Formats: sequence, structure tokens, C-alpha cells
Amino acid sequence: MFKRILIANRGEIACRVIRAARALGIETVAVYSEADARALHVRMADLAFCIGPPPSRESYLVGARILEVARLSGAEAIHPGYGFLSENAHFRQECDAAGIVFIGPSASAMHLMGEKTLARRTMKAAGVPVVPGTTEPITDMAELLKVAVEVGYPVMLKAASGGGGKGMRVVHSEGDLLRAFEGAQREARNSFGDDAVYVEKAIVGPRHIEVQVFCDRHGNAVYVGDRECSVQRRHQKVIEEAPAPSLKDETRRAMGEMACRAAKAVAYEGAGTVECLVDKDENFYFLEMNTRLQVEHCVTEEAFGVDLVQAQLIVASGGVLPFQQEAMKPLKAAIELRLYAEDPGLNYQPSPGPLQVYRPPRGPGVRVDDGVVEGDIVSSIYDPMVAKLIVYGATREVAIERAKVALREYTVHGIKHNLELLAAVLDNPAFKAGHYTTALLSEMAFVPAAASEAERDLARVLAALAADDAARGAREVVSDRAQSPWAEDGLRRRLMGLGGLG
Amino acid sequence: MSARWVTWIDDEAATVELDRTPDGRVVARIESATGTREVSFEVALAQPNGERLLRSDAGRSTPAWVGPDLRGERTISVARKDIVVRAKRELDAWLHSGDDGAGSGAVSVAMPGRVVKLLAKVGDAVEKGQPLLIVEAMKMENEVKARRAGVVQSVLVSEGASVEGGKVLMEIG
Repeated sequence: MFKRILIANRGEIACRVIRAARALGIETVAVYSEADARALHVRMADLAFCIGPPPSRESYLVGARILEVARLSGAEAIHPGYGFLSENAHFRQECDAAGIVFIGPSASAMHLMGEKTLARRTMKAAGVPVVPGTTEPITDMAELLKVAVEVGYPVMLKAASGGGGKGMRVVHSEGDLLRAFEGAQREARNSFGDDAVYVEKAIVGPRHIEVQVFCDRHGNAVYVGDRECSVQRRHQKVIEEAPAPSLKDETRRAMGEMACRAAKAVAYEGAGTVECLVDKDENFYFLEMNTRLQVEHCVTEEAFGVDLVQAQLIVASGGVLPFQQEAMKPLKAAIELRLYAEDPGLNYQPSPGPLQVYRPPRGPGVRVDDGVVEGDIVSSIYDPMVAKLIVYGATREVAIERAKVALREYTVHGIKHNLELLAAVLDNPAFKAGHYTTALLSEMAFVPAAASEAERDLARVLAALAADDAARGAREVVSDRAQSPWAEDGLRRRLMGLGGLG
Repeated sequence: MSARWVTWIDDEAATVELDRTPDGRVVARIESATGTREVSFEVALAQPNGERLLRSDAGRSTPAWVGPDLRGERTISVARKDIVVRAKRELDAWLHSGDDGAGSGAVSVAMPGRVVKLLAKVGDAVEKGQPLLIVEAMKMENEVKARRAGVVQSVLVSEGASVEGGKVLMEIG
């Protein structure tokens, strides 16, 4: 096993990896941009090094500098987390050349799966079902018009180097094609440095279900169940659950076996995820393979009682996969709810800012994976995901009830956030029934609850009080005496108000 | 001690007359176009981070939060609903009436980003809600929409430009 590893990431996933490493007695090295000097992952790690200015391309994406820190700090391996360099085959090769273990699959597996049109060709050859569409990138409008007609509207435009919903557009008719094409190319170029776009038939009313696979270098390939990820906005996941509700056992098994076949076709090592689209008749199509740990790996961990990050470390150091296929039965139902700094009432516009108040929930069946503390600033230059709330219970119903309690307890002020939207999803009849598609959020058309007249009045009074305090130069609204609500006078008065005392 | 403040939520004004007792109890009379009412509560807890716990005379707790002052405006959260409130001393409100920026045609974004596309040019007539430009921030593209109908008077940025939060990007007259 490694003695020291470097984590080439930030936020909650960096903290998650630090904890897993620590449990195995491994020392951790954090890297950070100037914007993250005081971030939680930096405070948690045993060693920490600044790698550049705030923009990712000058810090978290500079592979050479990260490798230099690895050498300098004596780290034997690099955990890339998700995003940033996690699916960068070139970085993996640089690690290999430097004699530092990259915790993840080989450069060739990343390359075969990373370029989406190549992945489609590879999977087709391996007998894995793919969504109908092109297997080559499209570069000009005339070709696109022709292909779109062949595939049939609605079509989906996707960035060939894509991921995370960026550079993705659904197009319903020819009139919208040009603007969508330009937009997809632009976003793809800005996010991935490659504007290649390809076309797939858009599956109507699909469910987005993915399979967790895990392979070691000793020939073991295991699928650790499935995850339902259909609650999405802008093609980004918001809520995920494991196991996927309402799926026939035979479909589950067929999908799992297909996922292992896909992984083996590229000689995969480590944790990976095969994303599938599933139609209403439970036909499934390979969508893509994410050659890294997923954000939502935690629901699989809680449902199946495994530690995927520890398993990554074991497998990367040459060990045998610590779980077998026969043992992979779900013990619990788990749901992940992602807390985003964004305004669901304003088309999910990101809302960076200071976390003036941040208090995550506690209680049975509650796990919070976050990388922030109260007082931190959610920066506009990184991803707007602040934290993941994971809840689990013996049944899906128990997990949902626990999730509702936990959401009510989660207190966040200073940024716009999606906690009320998450609570609304839990109350949605289709969600409760376990039968929903990727259209759930748009069909819900969530509108934040308007404040009542009484609440608006209270807000006015609080604003006036605050202004009054500021005008007086007072530091606190109440005197020390009132800080204790159980001061004798206060209690007596309240009980009198209730008619309890004479 | 009593003080009178004018408060606005959007453009709806209401006067708040405060009476505060030293033990944290607040009695407020509110006057607006919809009538006069009185609310009273105890500030049972007040934290430096802005958190408040209000307790009604019947003992019911309401969590609240008072955000920092941003140019005379604060976000106030009551029972987890964010409400933006402006407050001015009544006298000041009268002296400065008519010079606030509500409903102005200035187009800006709340956060820093990069202009990726301009969708309107000087002289264009625009509808309320019509997309005016696309700004990329937090790696996502966001359409900035017109907050009122009018004619584009000026465009103060070009495609590719980096913009700061709050900077005026276009003006609609």
C-alpha cells in the first residue's frame, strides 16, 4: 500500500479522498489555487502546496506543476478525483513517465472511452448496444442537417470530448439546429478545448441509469449495482439513488453484465461508471463510460456497504478487489441530493458568494460530503456544487422521509441554493412512486414558494431593526439578558401569554 | 424607544414603527396601502452570522436570517424564504424620494463572467424577458434577459470581454 498520495482536486471530493486515505494509514498531500488557500481540503491534508492562481487552467489543470509537487513531497500516487485531470489520458501518460501511480484506468482506456465517437465505435465492436446516431464528429452545418434528418428529430448534439452536460443540446426541429450547433461547439471549445460535436437520436422520455463497475489487474470485474440519475437540470444530475427503483431484476443483471463487458473491452482498471439510457420498455443503450469516480459514488457505498475510494487505493497499489460479485446485493436504499449554489427560480443561474450561515444536518441515516465550512466563499470560478447530502434507510420510503427531515434541518444563507427544490422533488408523486424520467424537473416547473403577508411583514420589521441597530452603532440586536430565552421574566411572560400561569 | 422606518419589498412601501424593550421584545406597527397591522415577537437568539430565532407570544419559533447591508438593501430570510428589503429612515426617504434605481434600463450580471455572444444591438426594440446577451460564468452559459421593454440605447461591452459583477453592460431606454 502507498505511504503518501497527492490529491489533485479540491472541494468535497478532495476531503473524501483524504478521509479514505487516512483510514488506510496513508498520508495526504493537498494542492490548491490561491483562491483555495484557506479551503477545508487544505486544512485537512498532512501537506499542502499552492499550485497557482485561481483559474483552473492556471492551477488544478496544470499537470506539470502537480507532478512537480508529487515529486517534491514524495507522493507515490495521485488521486485525480472527478473533473479537472481525472479523464485526461495525456496526464496519465505523464504520471507513468514520472514513475508516479495515477489512481485510475490506463491512458488507452481513458482515450477509448474519453472521445465519445471513438467509444461508440469501440462499444459497437464489443457488442454493447449504443444509441442510434453518428460514430464520427460532425464539423459543418450541411453535414449536420443531413445527419439530423437521417437520425430523425428530436436529435441530441453532444461534445465529442464532453461530460457534465456541457456542450449538449436537444434540437426538436431544423430551425433550431444552427443556433444549437454554434452553442454546443462554443461550449465544447471553452470547456474541453475541442469543438468536435456529434449527433445522437434523442430518446424520448428516457431514464438515466448507470452501472458502477470495478476492475482490478488480476482479472476481476464486478458491477456494484445501478444508480438512477434521472433528476437532472441542464443535463446535470441533481438527485441520484441506488439501487434504481422500479427496474426488473433481469434488466439489472443484463445491464451489469453489459457494463462489465464494456469495461473489459478497454482493459479497464479501477472504478468506472457505464451510463445508460433506458426507455419505458427497459431497453437500454450505452451512453458513455466515465473513467473515474463519480460524484454520486456515495449512494452505491451506502446501499451496498462498500468503500469505493478505499477500493480504488487498494486496486491502484496492485491489490485484489476487496469485494466479489456474489456479495454485491443492496442492503439499503440510498439517495443523494446535491446542494448547488444556484437559483432554481431563475433558470438555475449560479449564485456564488459567502456562506454566511452553513449548518449541515445530522441524524440517523444522514451523511454529508462537503468541502466547506461556514464563512467560506463559494467562488464563481469553480463548480457551483457545494455539498452532497446522502440519506439511507432500510427501504426507499424510509430514506425519503429521512431526506425530508435532513433538508429541513440544512441551513444555508448568503447564497441562493436549491434546498427547497430538492424538498419539492421528494414530494413529487412521480418521484415518490419511483417512476420518473429525465424530464421530471422541467415538468415539475418548480416555483419557489412565495413569502406570505405575515412573513413579509416580519422581514420588514427585521430590516428596520437591522437598520436601526446600524444607525445606533449597536453590535447586537438584543441585550445579554434576552440571549437566554429562559430568563425568568421571559418564561413567565410566555406562559402567561399561553394562559398557563395566573 | 421608538423609531420610524420606510421599507420596500420590490416597489411596495410600508412604514414600520418600532418599539423595542431592553429584554429583546419587539412591537412593530406596519402601515402600507393594504392597511395597518401590528406584530410582536421576542428575538430569542441573535448570532453574529445574522441568524435570528424569533418567538411569538404563543411560543412558536420562526428561524430567520438578516443578511449584510448591500447599498441600503438586505436579504432577509423568514422561515427559509428570502425576501429583499430596503429600509430608510422615514425622514431620509422623503428627502431622497424619486432617485432610486428601480425599473432602470441598466443591464448587468450579478457575477463576473465573459461575454460570449451579443444578441441585441443599439437601436433594437426589445421585449421584456428577451435575451440580450450570453455570459459565461461558472463554466455555464447564461442568457441575460431584458428586465423591461424598450430600445437598446447603448452596448458597453463586446463579445469575448470579461465583465465584473454589477457592471452595466447595456442600457435600455
